[in-house]
Amino acid sequence: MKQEIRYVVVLTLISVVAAALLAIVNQVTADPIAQARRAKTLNALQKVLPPFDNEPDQEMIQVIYPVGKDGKLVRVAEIYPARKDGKLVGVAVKVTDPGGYAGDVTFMVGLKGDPNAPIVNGYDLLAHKETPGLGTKLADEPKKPNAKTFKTQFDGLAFPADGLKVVKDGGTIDAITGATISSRTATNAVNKAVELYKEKAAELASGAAANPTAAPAADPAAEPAPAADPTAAPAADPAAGSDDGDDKVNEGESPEGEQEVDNV
Amino acid sequence: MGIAGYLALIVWAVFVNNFILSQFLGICPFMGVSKKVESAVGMAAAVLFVITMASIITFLLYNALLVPWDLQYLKTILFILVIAALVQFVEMVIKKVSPTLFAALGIFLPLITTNCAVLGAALLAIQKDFNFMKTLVFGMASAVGFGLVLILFAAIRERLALNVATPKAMKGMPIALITASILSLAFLGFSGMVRM
Amino acid sequence: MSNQSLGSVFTAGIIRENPLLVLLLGMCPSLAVTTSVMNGLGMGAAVIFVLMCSNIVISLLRKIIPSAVRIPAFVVVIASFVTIVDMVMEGFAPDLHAALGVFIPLIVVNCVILARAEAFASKNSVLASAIDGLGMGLGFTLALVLVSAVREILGNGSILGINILGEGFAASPVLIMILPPGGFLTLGIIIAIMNKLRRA
Repeated sequence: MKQEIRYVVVLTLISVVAAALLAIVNQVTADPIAQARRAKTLNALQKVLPPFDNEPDQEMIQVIYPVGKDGKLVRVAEIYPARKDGKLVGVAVKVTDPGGYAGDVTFMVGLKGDPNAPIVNGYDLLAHKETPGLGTKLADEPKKPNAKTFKTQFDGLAFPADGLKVVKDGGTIDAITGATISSRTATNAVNKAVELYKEKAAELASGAAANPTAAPAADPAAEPAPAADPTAAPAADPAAGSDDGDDKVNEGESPEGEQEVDNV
Repeated sequence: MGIAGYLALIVWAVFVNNFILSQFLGICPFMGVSKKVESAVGMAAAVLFVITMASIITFLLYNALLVPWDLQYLKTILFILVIAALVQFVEMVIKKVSPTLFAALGIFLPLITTNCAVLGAALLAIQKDFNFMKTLVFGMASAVGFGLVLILFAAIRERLALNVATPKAMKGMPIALITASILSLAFLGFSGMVRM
Repeated sequence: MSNQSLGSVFTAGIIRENPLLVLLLGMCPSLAVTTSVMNGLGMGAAVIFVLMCSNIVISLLRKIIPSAVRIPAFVVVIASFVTIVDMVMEGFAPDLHAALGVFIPLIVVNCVILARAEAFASKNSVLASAIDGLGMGLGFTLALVLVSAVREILGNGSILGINILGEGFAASPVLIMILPPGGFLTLGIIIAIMNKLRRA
């Protein structure tokens, strides 16, 4: 019996010390982790938006939209308004198209101008599982200043009234050779982004509250896009150490839309 | 998610996202146990059981204990301890129920603890935010995929062992790895079949 | 074992008993993360940290931990350091963290670490265990870098992201090398070469 007690005591001691140590490290790294996650979003925003001076991720609006043939599946989009001197200069829409060769492809699409005839400011590829060498060409940046790649077609593109399509479907976008399906995700994503921009134009222009429209919290029936970041949690929440941000995004309902809470 | 959805998930986990040939999970037992078909079958069955139980238990513990208390960072420790305990339990059961199987599996049984496939299945289900049903189906299907490739490979290696033309430096692990690469190439053909 | 010189303890992990190429341990991460040299280095660094720290702690506690519960005790120690690496990486090297993905927590089941804890750290002094951890970790890292160098050069035309085989090659490299089959193939051939060299 004495032996068994010794086993339990030693193991418990080690576990307790380990847990305590980890709790400390968790506290210490919580902020850098939150910053890193935020930086990833901000990086994408910088790439696709015209110059701005607000904090777009503090004013992010969430929209849940149906995808797929029977509309049973849903995806979550995030709209980030960019403002300069208080005026809306563009929006970035994080949108996921499930029609990729191997599943979801997530883009950050930059738009500016009149919602009814916007100008596409390019996109940034955020997440995908496409075939290396084919679908991955969606992300190819031009190697020389004036070189052309698939994505440069979207830089400064005036959005046609009936949407973007690849040449094969009667449109104007040149698909990636051998990767038509992957190319279609880009046109679909941009089309969706414009649709959402139009839908939320009034809300965005007025710079109103940052209340996510998907207020009914973490809907279990919804299948959130895998790349959703916990950006709508401006309160320096030490629990930002969670691995999947989806559950946390709707919690705070961002009543702290006021810019005071600035954890820079 | 309807039946069709679950079937798609199963096909995806067994073929498109095969644990061994696409995800590189479970390579150590893959190389160690696949020399004979019988031990491969035994190992596959044991892993199937452990992964299924581990997926269920880790899912429940994660959502009931860690998430409510914001202790997600403890998942690695918790999961590996659960798996170690589970394997210990399975060992005891097999010893009682089938001493021959126990002897056949030998050292490989406790090694299931360090089998990245088990911990990997638990972690991936959390990462992909699967609900309970999906976690269960994903775990079981992945284990089936693991077993399938293990047994396929054992059959090939039994034949390979009879081949005397293999250069000395290639014998054993190198030729096994090269065979695995060809098998992996074949499975690449499944990519894109199911979207997940 | 205890009267080995520290020098030979160190070099054992690098060549003679290289954990990946000779002892054939830790193959899962070696195949999965070696798609680029940067990832290989990152994983190697993480493994060195965990290996050294857990070796030191286990060696410090070796007289206190009862033999019957040593495996769970080792596992808790190793898992703690792995979790620390995971959190630190996510906060300070997020790109590497995203690239290594699920294989960071999987370091806990990397057979190298548990094997060294069982075979060496639980039976030797703290200093020797630390050196053993360093040697084995470095050997593992070197092997990872070797595999990833081959895969990255052939599969992407670059090393550490720097293009070294020219534009033409980079436009259509040997893609298979950075896909799973290429991993198996590269490791198999490298081990075969090691076998040949060791017999020679």
